[in-house]
Amino acid sequence: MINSPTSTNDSEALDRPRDSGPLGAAVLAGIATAIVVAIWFAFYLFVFIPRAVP
Amino acid sequence: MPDDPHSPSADARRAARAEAQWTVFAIVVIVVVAALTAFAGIHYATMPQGLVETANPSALHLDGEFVESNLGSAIESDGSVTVRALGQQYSFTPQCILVPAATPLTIRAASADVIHGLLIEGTNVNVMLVPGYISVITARFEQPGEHLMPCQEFCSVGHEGMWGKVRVIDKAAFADLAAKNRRLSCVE
Repeated sequence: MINSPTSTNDSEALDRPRDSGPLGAAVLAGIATAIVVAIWFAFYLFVFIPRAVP
Repeated sequence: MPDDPHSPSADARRAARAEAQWTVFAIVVIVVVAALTAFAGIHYATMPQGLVETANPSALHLDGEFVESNLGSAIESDGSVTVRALGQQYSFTPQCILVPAATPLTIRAASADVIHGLLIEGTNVNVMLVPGYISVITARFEQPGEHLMPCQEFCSVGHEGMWGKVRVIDKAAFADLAAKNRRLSCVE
């Protein structure tokens, strides 16, 4: 339930994600950056380079 | 307590480490993109102009290679074709550029007034025309066809109406026309 009282003696469980560092943020930012870089590569390899004039 | 994994200083260390890792990742992305940009130059997907050439924009119509009778496409002695064009508010001259297929082209263009942009749709040709300078770019069309050539640099109120086209025709047909005319265009 949303308003259920939180356990006050469960601080170890609350600390666990904090101990692993900002992993979720890194995954989210990594996926977003990977999408942008993948689109850049797609244009570079499939549009820009094939139009080269040697 | 420096050894407490939940202390504020331990949190700060974790944050600093994550930030350092992300910085390395960002640097790797930037270096890869920069290297591929350099490769584009080596591979001639795009190449900065090697030589700066100037032309007086107020006298383009009076003297030099951009006088009206010299605009258009001309066959050079090595078989390549040189295209000379002008941009001015709000048109290109010639409005329709005629070029042969499967032939190396050198486009030389200048602006008679403000900054314009010459972009040929479907190619990497995309160059600014800066008053006072001659823009030179190479191109090659393998197939006959037509390409739009809009001005890609906002040049004031009539900018959206400033566009020309490039008509690519068969190489032999172009040679026939070139035998009869000193400069070619497809302006009707």
